[in-house]
Amino acid sequence: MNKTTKIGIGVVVVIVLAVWGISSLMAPKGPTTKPTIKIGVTLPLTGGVAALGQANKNAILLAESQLPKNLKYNYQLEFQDDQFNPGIGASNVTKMISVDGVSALISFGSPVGNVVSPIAEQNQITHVNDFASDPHVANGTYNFVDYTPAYQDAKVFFPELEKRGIHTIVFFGQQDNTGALALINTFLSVASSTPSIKVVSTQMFNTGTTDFRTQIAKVKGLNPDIYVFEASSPELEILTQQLRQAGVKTPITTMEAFDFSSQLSLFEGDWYVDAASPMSWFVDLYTKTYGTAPLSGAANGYDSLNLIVQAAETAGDGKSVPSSTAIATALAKISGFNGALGDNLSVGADHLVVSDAVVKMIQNGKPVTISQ
Amino acid sequence: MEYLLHLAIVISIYSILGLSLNLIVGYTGLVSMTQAAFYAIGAYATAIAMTSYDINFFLAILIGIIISGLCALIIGYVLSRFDGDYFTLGSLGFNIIITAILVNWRGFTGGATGIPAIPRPSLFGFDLSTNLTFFILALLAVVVIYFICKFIVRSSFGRVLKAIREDEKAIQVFGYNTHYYKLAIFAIGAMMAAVAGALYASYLSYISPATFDLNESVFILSIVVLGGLANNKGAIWGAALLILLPEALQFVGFPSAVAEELRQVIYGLAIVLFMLYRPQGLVGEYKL
Amino acid sequence: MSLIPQLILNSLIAGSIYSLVALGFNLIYGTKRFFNLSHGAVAIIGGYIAFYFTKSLGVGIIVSSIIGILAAGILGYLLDRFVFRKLRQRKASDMVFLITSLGLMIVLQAVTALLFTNDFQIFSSQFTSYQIFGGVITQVQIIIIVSVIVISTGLFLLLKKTRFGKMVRAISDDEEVSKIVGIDTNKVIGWVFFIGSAIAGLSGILSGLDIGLEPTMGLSLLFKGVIAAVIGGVGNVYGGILGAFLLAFVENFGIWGISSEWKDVISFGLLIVFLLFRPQGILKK
Repeated sequence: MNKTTKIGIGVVVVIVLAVWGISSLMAPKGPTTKPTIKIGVTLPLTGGVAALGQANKNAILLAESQLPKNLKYNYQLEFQDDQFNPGIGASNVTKMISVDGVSALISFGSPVGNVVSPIAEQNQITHVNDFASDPHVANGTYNFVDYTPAYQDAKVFFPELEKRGIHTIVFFGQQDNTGALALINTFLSVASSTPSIKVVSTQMFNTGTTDFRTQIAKVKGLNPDIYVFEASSPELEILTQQLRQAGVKTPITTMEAFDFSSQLSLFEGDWYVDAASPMSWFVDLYTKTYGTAPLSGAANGYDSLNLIVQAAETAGDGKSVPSSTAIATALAKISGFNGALGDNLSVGADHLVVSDAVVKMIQNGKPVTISQ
Repeated sequence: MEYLLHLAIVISIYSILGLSLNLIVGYTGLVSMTQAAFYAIGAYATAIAMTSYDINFFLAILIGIIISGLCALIIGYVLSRFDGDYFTLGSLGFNIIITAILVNWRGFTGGATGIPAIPRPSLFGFDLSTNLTFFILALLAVVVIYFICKFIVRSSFGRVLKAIREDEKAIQVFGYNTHYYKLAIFAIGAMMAAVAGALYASYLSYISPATFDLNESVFILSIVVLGGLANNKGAIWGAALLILLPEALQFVGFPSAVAEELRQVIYGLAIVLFMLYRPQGLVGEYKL
Repeated sequence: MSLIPQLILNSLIAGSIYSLVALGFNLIYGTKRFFNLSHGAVAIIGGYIAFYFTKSLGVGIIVSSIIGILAAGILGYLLDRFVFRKLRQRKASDMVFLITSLGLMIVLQAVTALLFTNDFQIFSSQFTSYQIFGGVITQVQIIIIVSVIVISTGLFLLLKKTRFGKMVRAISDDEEVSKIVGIDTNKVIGWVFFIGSAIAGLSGILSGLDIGLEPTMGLSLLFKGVIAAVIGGVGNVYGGILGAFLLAFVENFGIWGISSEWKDVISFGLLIVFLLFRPQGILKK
């Protein structure tokens, strides 16, 4: 073996040992009076959706701080950054299961969720994803999703369209965005089975598009009753601006998309359908603690932690940590749960915790719920 | 331990990618920015074959290799006419086109939603689904591909490749049809990348187009450049380095708000500094 | 039907932005032949600096733009002075330049995100639009089209009528011979980087005014500029403009018929067609 190879192997061994050593150092030491249940959380704390990931982390920490003192167990959280990347998510979760011995996992988003679910199932660890638009993430005994699925939005959206006398729609969809695609697919399929609604044009585009002018020119003459956009930032804002620049004054609506915009003044006066607003007590608590309003998904994170805690408290006897299988079984049975997203929530047979969608409107640059 | 196995599997997959690109970039001197496309084709072919058609993993890999090879022949036919910057630019274009196809062809590939529930390999009823058995499989693949690369490089075919790298016009004078050689090595590299893709798909059980974009091609190129061009072991070291370093960096507490950007700065600076002061990479032989 | 006039207008607008990027790119490429991947990042930084001065410091938009243009030019000059010049002295191959510029692009983009966050920024939501020939165009878009005319005329005069221009053309023909003849190639190339990057900064500012700013926009701007330059004839300043408008027309009329998610495929498909059948581009160097 030549010198370079030896140095190379040495470097790799050192890094591996360092990783092993530091991670075991991070495990807590010594017995405590109450047994400790560890919960591993993987979130996009950096990268494109870091703001959402950070808000989620804040909410989970907030929930932890609100836990009553007389619980049977201590709860210890560990956070890992997955950069919204499935490969890194898999890495984080494998680490937390095999090195840290977590009893439950929380993850964020469908891409990471889809990768964590089989790992959770194989290792028999309870797993709750709090931002997955793909219900497949909830497959299996151990996997759960706490997020309003697209069909819930549609249940409120289409009646609202009818109520407002809307019949013709031009639709723009950012079809290479996972969240938007779920909403796009749901919209198109429900629209096609709603006789009073006619989608006169469907315009798809990809992330990174900055020039919608030709698409707008194509549909301008169709004069629809309303434009429906399913897109994320900045495409949503660019599209809207260019639509207005082209002289189109028709209103715009969406399921959820306005939630992700930082330029709400563009949509002043527009109504839309969104996942349930968090309860005002949660918004107040979060704002008081962190100085800023909670972002989309934060309330879901808050509830996810509490669901896991409630399940663990039900499943365990207080003397030793309950098996993750017991936690999962208990979680599946939860009903009448009062959470940040609403009262009387329950875990469905499909392992989805569903809360209702609501109609909102942008007033004075802020979203305001206008119906329950 | 499971976590170390996981890292080992990921390093194996990227080693195969590094080895495959090294043949094209390190030995033949063609800077290709489209390796992720063949990685993707292998992954998607395997995923669709296994989930929609219930085809056995090992047969699915074969399908992936064949499709990847065929695509490489077509793309390579176009690209082999160029050298230098035009080759790179053209390859970049192909990566973008193939990623767009994967994302837009929603009916077939699932689009941005991706393909979940890809099963682990099984052979004659033996379930190879544990991480340990999967690692053995991946390691086997690395070893096989490593020896194939070594064989190619030592052969007379490999000598022609190196000659193309040094001075393509000169060797053309001697009557060698360089287009053919460039096309051949491009296709071989693509087929190896497809193997990596198949392993990735089955291991993670979920793939989506976002994994295989231009950034991934850049990452694979970095493995080869930083690890050492024209050195097969260098490709493996490069893979190990670029996979382990971020894992180790996770323990360094960068403030979250800027961690991603700081990582990028370090990554970009590393590339610039290597190019300025050590262009042959860690253990490479070919000084760019 | 007002669709065709609007499509033509859209193509003119898009083509103008691509032209500006291609102009700066071609100028630099003429002196040192490599695909400078950091060019796009420099363009966006110019846009961000103008944005910073006008939004955060309240400076007027015209002065802010001038500052942004100068800043981009200086940045380009510094990149040449401290990185590319070293590589030139070492006679490094084109591949090294390419990969180095890739590293620089990554760093510049990350620094931009560090300073200005990844959020999408717009200069203002006000706009004035006009009706021309049955289509709609905004004030900023008119400025963009005018800029192309101004800059390309300026470059023409610079390259053909001044001594500096002669030196640039000499280096572009053969750097070694130019040195022998006594031209301070490093100094001239430094100025070329400054001017080329300044033009890039202008394109970033105008693009920002028209659409908005995000750190990752530099790369897509660059791609369009490079495709335009290659189609039009790399190294040929006017070729870049021709290529830019051709690209814009093909894109816009293309998505008239095909769904817009294939836009990138159309752009790069056009590039590959040209690489296959006319790699030297429309106009020869």
